[in-house]
Amino acid sequence: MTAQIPERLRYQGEEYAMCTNPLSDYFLMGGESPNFEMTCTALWRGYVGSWEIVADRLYLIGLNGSLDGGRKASLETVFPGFSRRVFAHWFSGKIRLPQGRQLEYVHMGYGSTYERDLLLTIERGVVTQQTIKQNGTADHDAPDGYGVAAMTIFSAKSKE
Amino acid sequence: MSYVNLYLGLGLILSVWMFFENKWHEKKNDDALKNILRSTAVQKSHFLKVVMSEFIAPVLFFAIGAVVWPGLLYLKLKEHGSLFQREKTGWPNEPIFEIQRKNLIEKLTVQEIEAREIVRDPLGAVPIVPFGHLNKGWRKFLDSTYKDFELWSFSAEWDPWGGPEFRKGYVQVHQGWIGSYFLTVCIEIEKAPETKH
Repeated sequence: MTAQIPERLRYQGEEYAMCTNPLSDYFLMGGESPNFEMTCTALWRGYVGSWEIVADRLYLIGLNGSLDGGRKASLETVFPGFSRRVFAHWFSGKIRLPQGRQLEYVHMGYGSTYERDLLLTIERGVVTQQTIKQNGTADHDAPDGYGVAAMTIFSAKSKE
Repeated sequence: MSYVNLYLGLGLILSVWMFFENKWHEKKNDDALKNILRSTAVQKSHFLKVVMSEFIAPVLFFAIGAVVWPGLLYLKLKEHGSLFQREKTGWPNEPIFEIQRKNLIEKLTVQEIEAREIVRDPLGAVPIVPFGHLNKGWRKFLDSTYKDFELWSFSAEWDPWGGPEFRKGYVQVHQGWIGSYFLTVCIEIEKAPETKH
C-alpha cells in the first residue's frame, strides 16, 4: 500500500496535514457511502476531506473526490442538505497532525514519522485535549512537512 | 535407440502440453491490473523481442524440455500439490466483532435512547434528530429485525487486524440471542510503548 494523501485541517489559523480519516468511522457506523473512485494508489479512500475546528468542535467543510462514472463528489453527496459544514459528532479518538521534518519515510498508509505529532483528542466531535508528542530530531536536509514520495495515477483511459 | 526416442518423445509431448497450458492460464487470469499496465505502457513492441518471445523461446523450451522433462514433471506435480494445500488452508479470516452477554450494560427503550442521543450544534451543522447525521442508519437498524426485540447499550473491546478498538453502541437482543448492533463510538486503543530489555 502506498503512502496516503492526508486529510486537511484548519486549526487555530494554521493549515495542517491530518493523518486520520474521521469519515471512515462515519461509514463504519452506518453512514451511507457513495462509491468513491480510486484514482491513484496514494488515495485508496477516493476522497480528501477538508476539516476545521471551531470553538473546539470538529467540522467537515469540504470534500473532493470522484465517484464511479466520473462525477465529482462534494459535501452534499455524503450529507444531503449540508453543503457548507457538517459537525463530526460521530468521531471519537485521536487526530494526528504531523509537524516538523521527516524522521523516517514509510511508503504505506500514514506510516511516516515526523519530529512532532500534534495530537487532538476528540470525544463525539468535541476536542477535549491537545498534546504534542516529540518523536526525535531529523537531519537538517530532511524534507519538511508531510509528503508522499510516489504514486501511480490511473487515467480514465487506462480504466477502460 | 528406441528408448531414447521414447524418452525424448514423452518429453516433447509434456513440454508442449505445459507450454500451452501456461499460455491458457495466462489468458484466463488476465486481471484488471494487467490490463491497466498494458494500456499505460508507452513502449512499443520491438520486432526482435516479439520473435524471441513468440518463436525462439518456445522452440528452446521444447528442446530443453524434451531432455529434462522428469524435472519439469516434478515441478508441475509440486505446483499442483501446493495449490491444493493453499485451497485447503486459505487466508486467515479477520476476526468478526461479536458482542457478548458480559458487554451488555443497560436495557433501554427506543424512546429513552432517542432522547439521550439527540445531537445539537451551535452552527446548525447537524440535523436535530437522534444520532444526527447517522439518523438514517439508526432507522434502518430499528427496521432490520424482529418486532419484539430488546435494546441494550453495550461497550466492548476487541482486537481486529488494525489494532485494538473500544466500541460502544446499542444492540438488539431477541429471546436471549444477541443480534445486530448500532455503533456510536469506535476508538483505537493505543498500544503501550514497547520496553527494551
